[in-house]
Amino acid sequence: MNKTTFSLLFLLFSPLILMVFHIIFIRLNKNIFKFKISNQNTAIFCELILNIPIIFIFYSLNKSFSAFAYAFLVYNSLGYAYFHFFNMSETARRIKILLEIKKNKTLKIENLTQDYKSDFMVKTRLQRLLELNQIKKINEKYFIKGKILLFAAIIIRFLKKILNLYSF
Amino acid sequence: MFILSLIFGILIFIIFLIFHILIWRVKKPKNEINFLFLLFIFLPLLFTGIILLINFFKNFTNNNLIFSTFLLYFSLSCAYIQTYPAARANAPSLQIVYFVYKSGEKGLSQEEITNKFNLNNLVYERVEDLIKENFIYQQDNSILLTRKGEILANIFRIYRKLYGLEFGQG
Repeated sequence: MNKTTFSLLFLLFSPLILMVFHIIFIRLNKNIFKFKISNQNTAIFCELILNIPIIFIFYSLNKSFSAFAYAFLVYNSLGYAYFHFFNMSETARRIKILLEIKKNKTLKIENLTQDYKSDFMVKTRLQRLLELNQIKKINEKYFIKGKILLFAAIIIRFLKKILNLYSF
Repeated sequence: MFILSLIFGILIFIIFLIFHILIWRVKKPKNEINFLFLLFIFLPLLFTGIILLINFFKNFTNNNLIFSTFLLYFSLSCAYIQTYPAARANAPSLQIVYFVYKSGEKGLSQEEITNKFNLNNLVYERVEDLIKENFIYQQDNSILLTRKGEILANIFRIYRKLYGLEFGQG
């Protein structure tokens, strides 16, 4: 196997390295460091920090600027997909519904809507958005603060429009 | 080599994205996620396999160029497939951010944000999706997991256990 093939395989398996690193980080933080950091932020932190070793190794094996740009794009696209997968286990209603049914064997639809009251859902999400520094709270009112999720919301609106999906 | 991989990888992704937009605008498939996987992953994987096979006999290019092009295309497709459910399912967090942004300097209270959500849409739409995709089924007024739903629930249960985390709050 030549160096290029090895470096490409290394990049292909980078989400696995990210997952292992993230698991160790979460477990260490829970038991030793005890930083006040949301689960979503740990995923973002681990994804960003692993850019350094992964791109460095890829660059060392291929030694060109295009290899650097290539590794940056591939690793961060896979890292973004990893973040979404982790986030799905954290926030997705569909997964929550499946896990609730799994726990109780069966579920009445009315019970589901009771568990999923919109004020509770909004409260949980506002808390998460505050922790992610995407909104701020002043005198019981919420205002925009960060630009990352706002950018995502605008992109999603655009996507909905071109794909002919429902708009919000 | 990586310059060519960057150009070809991005170009192939754009071509498949255009196909996807055209198909969705003409007639949206019933099982959107399965169709996305078919369009963005399985078809290109098959296509790459055929090119590698031809290259094995004719040797017209470097195998690493084919591999690196497909890897870039694959990573962009994974990122897109993971973004799609957020567009499809009206992600509440993104909706909240957008409502707050639209309120400008006036801001929004928690009550005002809550009033903008329709509880029925938030839960029933997801239940309907899960039934449509054969993850759950309805029996009288109760919902139960299908075999497929059981497998997915187990995957996420084990996945959360690996991190030592409780179930997400949804």
